[in-house]
Amino acid sequence: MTPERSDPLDRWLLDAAPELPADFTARVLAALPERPPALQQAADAAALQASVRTAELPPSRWPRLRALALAAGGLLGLAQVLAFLLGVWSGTQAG
Amino acid sequence: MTMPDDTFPTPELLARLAAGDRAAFAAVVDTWQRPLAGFLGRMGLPPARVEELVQDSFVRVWLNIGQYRPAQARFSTWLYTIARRLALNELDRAAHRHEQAAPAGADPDAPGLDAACPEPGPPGQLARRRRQALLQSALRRLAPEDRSVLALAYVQELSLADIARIEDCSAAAVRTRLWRARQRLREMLGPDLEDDHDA
Repeated sequence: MTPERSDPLDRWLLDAAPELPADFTARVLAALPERPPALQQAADAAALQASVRTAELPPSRWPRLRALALAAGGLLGLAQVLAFLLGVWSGTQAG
Repeated sequence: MTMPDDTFPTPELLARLAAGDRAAFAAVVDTWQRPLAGFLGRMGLPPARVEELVQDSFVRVWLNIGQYRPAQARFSTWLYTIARRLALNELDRAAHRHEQAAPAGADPDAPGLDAACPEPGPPGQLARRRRQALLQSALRRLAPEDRSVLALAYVQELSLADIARIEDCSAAAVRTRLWRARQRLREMLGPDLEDDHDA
């Protein structure tokens, strides 16, 4: 990649840059968002993590409902075992 | 205005950029504004759009500096990757606009020679404007991908490997596209280039 000034095509292409205004740097700085990029990215990352957490974690009432369902299921299971034992005992008594 | 080199920006400067230091960012803008304008000018974009896209490129750099990894690519490679993407998007949009608005064969963005010479000036300046108008018109007739390789090839601080990385192709493909683009330009500009050579 070594353009030569002696080649007219290279010279034309090297001269292709339009002139930028003298205060261009100041204009760019004025167009920058106010927040520093590091803070912005940290904020974006935090927002992203928060949104992921919101999507994954259930609302706060769910753990209570889950505990209630577990307790109800446990009681039902215990009742079934007791019913089975009662059935076995009744059978042996009748025999 | 300093010229970019391999050591710029230094790790200290990068840390200041990441922390949102505007003075540090001004040094980056000062260093790269002219090479970036040259690249975008060679992409065949009108001067007003070049100025806007140079600014947009720097704003993207400012917003995404936290994503730049010095171990993966040189800063200039990353910067030109951003500018190239913006330029190709702009060319896509412009082509779409022309398809909808212009009659076949016309190129509304292409300045005529009269538009390139809005006011009389010294003969050298007029000749330069005429050259630029001819070159811009020829560049716009190249395929955007060939134009992109050609535009990057004249960026002093980029090697063939850097260009291949930016273009996401092999070095051999870069060479082929560059050769093809230069041949096409020579065909289109032939007599005018010869005149310039004689001058």
